[in-house]
Amino acid sequence: MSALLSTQALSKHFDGVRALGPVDFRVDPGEIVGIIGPNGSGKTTFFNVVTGFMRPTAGRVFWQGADITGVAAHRRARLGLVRTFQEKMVFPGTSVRENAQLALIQRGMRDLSDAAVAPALDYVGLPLRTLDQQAGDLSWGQCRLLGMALGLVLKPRIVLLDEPFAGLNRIAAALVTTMLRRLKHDGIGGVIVEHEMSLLLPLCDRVVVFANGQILAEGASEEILKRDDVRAAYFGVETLARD
Amino acid sequence: MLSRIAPYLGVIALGGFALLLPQAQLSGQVMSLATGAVIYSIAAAGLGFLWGQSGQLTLAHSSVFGIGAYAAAVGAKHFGLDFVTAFPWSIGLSLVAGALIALPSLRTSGHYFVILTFAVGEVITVIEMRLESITGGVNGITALPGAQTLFGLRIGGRTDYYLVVVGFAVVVFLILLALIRSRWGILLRGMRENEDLSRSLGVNVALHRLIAFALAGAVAGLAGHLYMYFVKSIAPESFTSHLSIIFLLVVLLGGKTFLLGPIIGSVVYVFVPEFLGLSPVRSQIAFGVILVIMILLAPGGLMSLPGRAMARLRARKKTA
Ligand SMILES: Nc1ncnc2c1ncn2[C@@H]1O[C@H](COP(=O)(O)OP(=O)(O)O)[C@@H](O)[C@H]1O
Ligand SMILES: [Mg+2]
Repeated sequence: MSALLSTQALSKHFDGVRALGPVDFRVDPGEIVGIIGPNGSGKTTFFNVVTGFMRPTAGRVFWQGADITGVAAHRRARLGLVRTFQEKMVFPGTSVRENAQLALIQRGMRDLSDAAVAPALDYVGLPLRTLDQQAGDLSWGQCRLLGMALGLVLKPRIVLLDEPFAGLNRIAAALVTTMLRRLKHDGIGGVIVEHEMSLLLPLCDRVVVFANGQILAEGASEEILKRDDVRAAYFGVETLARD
Repeated sequence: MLSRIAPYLGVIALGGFALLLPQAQLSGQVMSLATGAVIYSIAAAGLGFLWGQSGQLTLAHSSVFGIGAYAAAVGAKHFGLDFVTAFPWSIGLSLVAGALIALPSLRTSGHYFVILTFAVGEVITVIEMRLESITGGVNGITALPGAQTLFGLRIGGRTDYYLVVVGFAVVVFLILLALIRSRWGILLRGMRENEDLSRSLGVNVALHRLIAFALAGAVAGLAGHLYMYFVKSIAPESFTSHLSIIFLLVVLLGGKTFLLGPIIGSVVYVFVPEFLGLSPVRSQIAFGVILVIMILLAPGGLMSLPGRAMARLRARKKTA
């Protein structure tokens, strides 16, 4: 079976300094892969290059075996390769309703009524009473949920989620966890970048460890933490980065 | 249902009110000022749409306005076109010009892009000066409407032409209103609010930006055409970036996210100095001061004031 999404020796340099690569990576249809790694290890850059927001310095990106390295970001989204953002997750200056309507339009829906918007918010557990609020006035956690709802409206084959738990309290994190389990159930593939391993590991079929822009290790969730090199790289740098 | 058509009825009612203005037996000078204000409001509405909805700014808007005016004048002088038959040219050329101005935005954005539009505007002015055989160079070009009429209204008549201009304004504002409330309007505001997120949802940002610029250009060109038949004589200096700045300020004064913002902005811009009897220099200063106050106290523009007042009242009621 060919991979849904894969990369071949993918790398990205900024001003000659390597931030990523070379990375060989693959996700199969419906598979959920976690990416862990310390700050600055190239996780977001990897997302940017894979989704077409940045041009790779070298290497290729494949979608169902076809080379999409030169394909524009918005076209990749239409293929079913959808991402979320770490920081700017929503359209802050418009209502939650209009945020969702935009995604519905992109999904090709004719009906933009509240009845059509509701399932999108329901899916991520965002209350309907937020419809009239400016998206920028939502709490950080609600922004996260809305950001994910927008991507999921497109019915992607795979979503790339950049730190979906960052900055969330326990309740919001629980909502995100529920939503991610639902993804799995609905056969939507995922790549999830996350620091919080206790949240990440139970959700993933497989975990990939990034360090210095490269894949340090990968394996089943329960195996990966047992490896000494992973613990050294991850926890070693992590403790430094945290303070 | 009513809430759906209410805004359209509002535009039509405002237009109807404007059409009644001549009944008030105003002086010829006031009618001329009113005509100018309406023409400015159309041009500014094109910029307001672009800026307020898609978040893009251009300093070449006056140049595109000028292209519409030149198309009307050159059409009349060299090609035997009249007020009506010149429209495809004035609107078409300014639409293309608007789109061309957007092209650099595919490679650059933000401040750099705005500076680039300024440069493009200057180039257009130079071209107008150099193409002497067609444009009359620095001396400009004169074209008189003669005895032309539209729906029985004399293009050359002061009051009649005011009515014609208001009619065009109503049509333009209705179209812009429909676009603001359309699916496309939602996409444009998305691009304004978060370009990357728009792309990640599959929006072809470059294409929609190009179309928005083309539309703003077409509206400016239409206004330029109306302007030409109003002043009857134009020159390159009429359309320098100074005028772009005025359009920008008019939009800002009224409120850039409000459809009717440019109308209020233009009326204030044209009439306030007149009523206060200010000299051109003093009126520039006065306008500058008004703007500074506006930006500091009501950055959403004059149109945002009622909403803000309501919100304040509501808040006061809650605490009371
Ligand atoms: N746009 C950019 N320009 C220059 N350097 C960048 C840019 N984006 C990321 N980097 C650098 O690339 C490295 C990887 O960053 P990033 O991918 O954001 O890491 P992570 O998401 O794993 O924390 C960092 O050293 C960062 O400073
Ligand atoms: Mg990151």
